Amino acid sequence: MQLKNTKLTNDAEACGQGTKRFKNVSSTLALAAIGVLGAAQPALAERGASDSWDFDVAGLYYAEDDDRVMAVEPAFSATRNFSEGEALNLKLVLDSLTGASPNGATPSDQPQTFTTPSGNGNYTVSPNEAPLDDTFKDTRVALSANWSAPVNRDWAYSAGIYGSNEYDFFSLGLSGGLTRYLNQKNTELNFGLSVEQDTVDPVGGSPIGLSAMPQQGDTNRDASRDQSQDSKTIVDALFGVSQVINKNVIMQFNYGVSVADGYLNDPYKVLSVIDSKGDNVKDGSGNNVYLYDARPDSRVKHSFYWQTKQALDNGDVMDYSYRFMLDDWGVTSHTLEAAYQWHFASSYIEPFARYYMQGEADFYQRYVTDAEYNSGSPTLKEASSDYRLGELDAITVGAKYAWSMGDGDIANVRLAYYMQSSSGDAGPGKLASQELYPDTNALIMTFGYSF
Amino acid sequence: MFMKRSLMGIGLVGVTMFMSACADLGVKPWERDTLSRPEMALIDSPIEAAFDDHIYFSKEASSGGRSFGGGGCGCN
Amino acid sequence: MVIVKISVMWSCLFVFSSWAMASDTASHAPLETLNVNGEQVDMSAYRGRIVYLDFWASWCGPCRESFPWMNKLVREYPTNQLAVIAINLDEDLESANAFLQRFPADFDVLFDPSGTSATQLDVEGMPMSFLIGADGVIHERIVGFSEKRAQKHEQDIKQLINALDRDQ
Repeated sequence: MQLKNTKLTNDAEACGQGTKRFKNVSSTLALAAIGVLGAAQPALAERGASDSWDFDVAGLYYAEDDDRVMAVEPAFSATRNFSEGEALNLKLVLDSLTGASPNGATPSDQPQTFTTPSGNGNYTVSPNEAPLDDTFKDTRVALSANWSAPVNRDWAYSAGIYGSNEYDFFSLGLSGGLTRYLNQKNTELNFGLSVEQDTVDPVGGSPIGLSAMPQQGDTNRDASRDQSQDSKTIVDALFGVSQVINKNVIMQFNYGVSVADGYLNDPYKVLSVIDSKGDNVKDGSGNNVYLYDARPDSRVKHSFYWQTKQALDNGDVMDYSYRFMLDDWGVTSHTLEAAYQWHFASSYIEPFARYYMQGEADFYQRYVTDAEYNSGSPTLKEASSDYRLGELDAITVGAKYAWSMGDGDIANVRLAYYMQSSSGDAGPGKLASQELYPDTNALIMTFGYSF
Repeated sequence: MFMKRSLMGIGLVGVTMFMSACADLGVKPWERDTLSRPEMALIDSPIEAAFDDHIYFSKEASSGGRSFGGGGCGCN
Repeated sequence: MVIVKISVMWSCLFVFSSWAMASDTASHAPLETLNVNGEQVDMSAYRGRIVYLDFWASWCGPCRESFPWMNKLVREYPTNQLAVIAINLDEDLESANAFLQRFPADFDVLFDPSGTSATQLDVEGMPMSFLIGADGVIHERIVGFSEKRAQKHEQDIKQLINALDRDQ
């Protein structure tokens, strides 16, 4: 500070005297006067320089406790920066999933046998165990390209294309964005629109909602299937305002609306049918009845997102956000996130936490009652026991460590733990003694390298 | 429908109020030293944000909000 | 339907806000003095020469790219025809000096941490340059820097210098 003040006085004199012409306050002289100081400029600002490439390599490892879902997801991103601020980003994401996932049925004091989605096999779940479908395995490849460019000082636009493919699912999307800068770029208005077309071709065909799961080798299996491929269309619109508050604080507010139309069922999930004693209802052949997941064929979601980033005088950065979401399925959710970036000379540690709370969808039910089942002519139109549509809370805690590797390269590792707990009604009779709402815990690890 | 409309109304009034307040906020173009730090970008790590969105999209009923709602995956 | 409605309202907001920005007052009076960090610098001393006055900051990406180009200007045009003056607007002088170590400047650099000169000339972005004619009148206001546009600006500088030669 002292140094700075001294130097300023000198400069002021230099300028004051230079009324005829500038006294030669050339860079070399100024440097000589102030002495050689460490390069305070972080090298990482080199990214984004014009006519250069920026690369990102990253990976995600996600593993749920008790050998449930495990995912490995490498990602590669390359960005070409052009001289007028245009940028082209190309991204490839691979995703490999294995492990067991809840199939939606309730646990029972009896063994339960389920037909595999293909109809060619079955699996048996032991008494008092959570029914999990361990045939779950998938690989996804996703590619995207995004172009962004300024139009002039006040406007910028972006356009993107996206495609992803997995065994039973194909998705193609287009997106566009428009940005308006105001108040010397202190205010930014964003408008984005994206359209996505998904084709679902589930293993064994798309089940008809609330039809009964056929037994292995059932010759009448087709009666429970919709033979055509199913599809859905998702249109997303996003309106955002970001505002610079002062030298250290920037804030944004987004409103998003998302409209999905088409096949929105989960083809691999079923519901148990339970009588008043808490036993599984059986069909004429003495097999447990399980009904396929059935959801409305449209969904409109609204999201309100507020985020603030704040730099502190010591160089640390705080990031906090809140999101409120609601949809016409009756789901509401609140999400709070906070992170504190603790900066060192050429690295930072960032502890972070996230809290998520969700209310259940109108048609969520842990099981179907025998009255609702109505001997095979269900009185319901929609029902899903997908825990993701039920009441749930989730907490994520973790920390990230990022360090500069010189030449603008940055490496980071992040470790987090995700804890999700569901809740709902206890169920009748002996079902009440079963664990209907098991917790899910997962370890999340990511690494990234930017160069 | 009524609820939807009133939500829109509240949203728009909010944005308008926010906008008019904005004129007094902000910094001069040469005062963006701190704001230009890469860590001050609202989404400073897009790949990480995409990983997170993917995880939460497959485990929870809500998704997106920060940027596009995500999707492109058959996991929900 | 809802989306359409909001889109319409939003675009109104965009257009409505456009006129709020259009207040670029072009001054045709010669620049007599420039207040650099509270000190009056006599700009009339530069009459008869072309001045390329550049405002920069260490954290600004395109500023890095502009330095070699300004060095080239200094090399190519004699000082009695063209003066390149760069005013640094960093609040923190250490950052400015670290920048100058990495991107050396062969032209005059002044430090204006209080930004009085930038306020005076209504600097709109970083970097921003002013091409000042031999008569002291601001000929061109250039926001930002790119190699491509710099070629065009060099043509403008050449034109002003040629006019200078004819006058002499």
